[in-house]
Amino acid sequence: MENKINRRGKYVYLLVAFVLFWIVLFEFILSSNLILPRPYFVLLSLGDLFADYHLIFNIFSTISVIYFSIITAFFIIWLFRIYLVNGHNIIRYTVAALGWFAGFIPSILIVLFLFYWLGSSEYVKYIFGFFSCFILFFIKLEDETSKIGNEYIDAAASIGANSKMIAGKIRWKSVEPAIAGYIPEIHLYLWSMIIVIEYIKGGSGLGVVFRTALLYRDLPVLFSSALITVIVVFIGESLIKYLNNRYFIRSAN
Amino acid sequence: MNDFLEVRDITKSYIGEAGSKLLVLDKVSFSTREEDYITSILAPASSGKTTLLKIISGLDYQHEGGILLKGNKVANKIPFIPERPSSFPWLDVEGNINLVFKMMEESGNVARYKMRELIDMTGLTGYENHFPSNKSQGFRFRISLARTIAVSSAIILLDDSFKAMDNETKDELFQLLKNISVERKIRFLIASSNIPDAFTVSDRIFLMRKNPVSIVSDINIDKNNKGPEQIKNQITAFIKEENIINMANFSI
Repeated sequence: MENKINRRGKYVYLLVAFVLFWIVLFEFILSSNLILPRPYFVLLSLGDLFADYHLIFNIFSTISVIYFSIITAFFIIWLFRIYLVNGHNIIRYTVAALGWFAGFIPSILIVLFLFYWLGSSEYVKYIFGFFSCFILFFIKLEDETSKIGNEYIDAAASIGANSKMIAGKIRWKSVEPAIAGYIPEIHLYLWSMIIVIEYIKGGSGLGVVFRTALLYRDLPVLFSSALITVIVVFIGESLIKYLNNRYFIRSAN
Repeated sequence: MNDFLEVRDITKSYIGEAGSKLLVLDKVSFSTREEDYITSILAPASSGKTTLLKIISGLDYQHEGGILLKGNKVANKIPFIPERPSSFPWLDVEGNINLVFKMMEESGNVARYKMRELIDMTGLTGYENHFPSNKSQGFRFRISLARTIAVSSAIILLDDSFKAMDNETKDELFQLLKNISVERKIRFLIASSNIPDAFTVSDRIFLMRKNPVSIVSDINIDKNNKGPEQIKNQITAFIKEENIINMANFSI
């Protein structure tokens, strides 16, 4: 734990050093360049970002898709946990087969088909987000279920637990930390994919901000919106990790 | 002398990967007596001990033969502590034990009193809210033991649970089992491939051979007249004389 804190501290120092380096280099030495914007222009661009690029609305649009997808998919998996972790059934086989198959399909191809079927509807983002999360959770669930130690199931069955109880109190509880621990990975994947979808599709979302900034070759806005995205992803991931530690990760006490 | 647990002609086979029928247990029969509080089945490693215990427990019901407890067919499953630690890591000590009370729909003061008693009995006092993760095998075994005792079964099955423990922990746990067996009138049936463990803890030992598994002999441990070394030597000599069990598969 102490090592982790020390490492974090070093990362923060390094980050501050990078920022200082950027300020000195791009504000005073390379003030006119096409690589990175001047820090002063980035500060100025924040005003444009909120006024002209409607950052609040667009960021809310992206965030709503990402967290709606994660929360809904996790909730559905949790709701049907007893059915999903207990033995073999047709839904498990079907979704597992779909998941296996989807593993060979670049996600962007699925997005293109959704564009073809649904046009530029905002639902494309939600449908893609939800199904991606659900299938990823499900594949993880399948993978983790196969690793559950028989000792837990035997011990529970021998003290009189029925199959429903074994599914809910043993099997699901065995895999729950791994499923919850997988959320940060899904979170980052969704951020990447949703921004790409918004970028291609238009409408609303951070992807639209990036597209407009690129269209006008507005480097300070591109830089500041990227910075804000990173900060929001960091906050989101920290929140997910906090909730994981609070509710899903087993205490070592 | 009444039979306590009677295992009659248990035969178990399954189809192996090559498609051939593998006979795992061949008419295994033995019976423990009322006065045998702790009985061990001493058999070589990988000889089907776990399969036999699972059959006795009721976890594996695809077999031939029958099991009687005090002359009656076993109605419920018999609590079984597997070889690997089986205390649930997502529950603390109280949570592990409480799971049994929840299953039996017991709550309130009675359940709390029973829980307190079990925690004290198994030496877990002060650790009520501790989780099994990162804890020793001995600690995890105590939790499993408390949980199985909570079921109020007349007999508990232990599958080589002491294999990975150090001698000091084993001695403590053996003494704990002896105390519990006398105080609570609970019988323990232990499967082991460790000769010293078997003679240290048992009142009676059944020797089993491998391929296919069947009971070869039973040995009464007379601890009053013989010291531990004598008993150990007796068992070791017996196994060697019989020459039907590969000594290399035992821990001596």
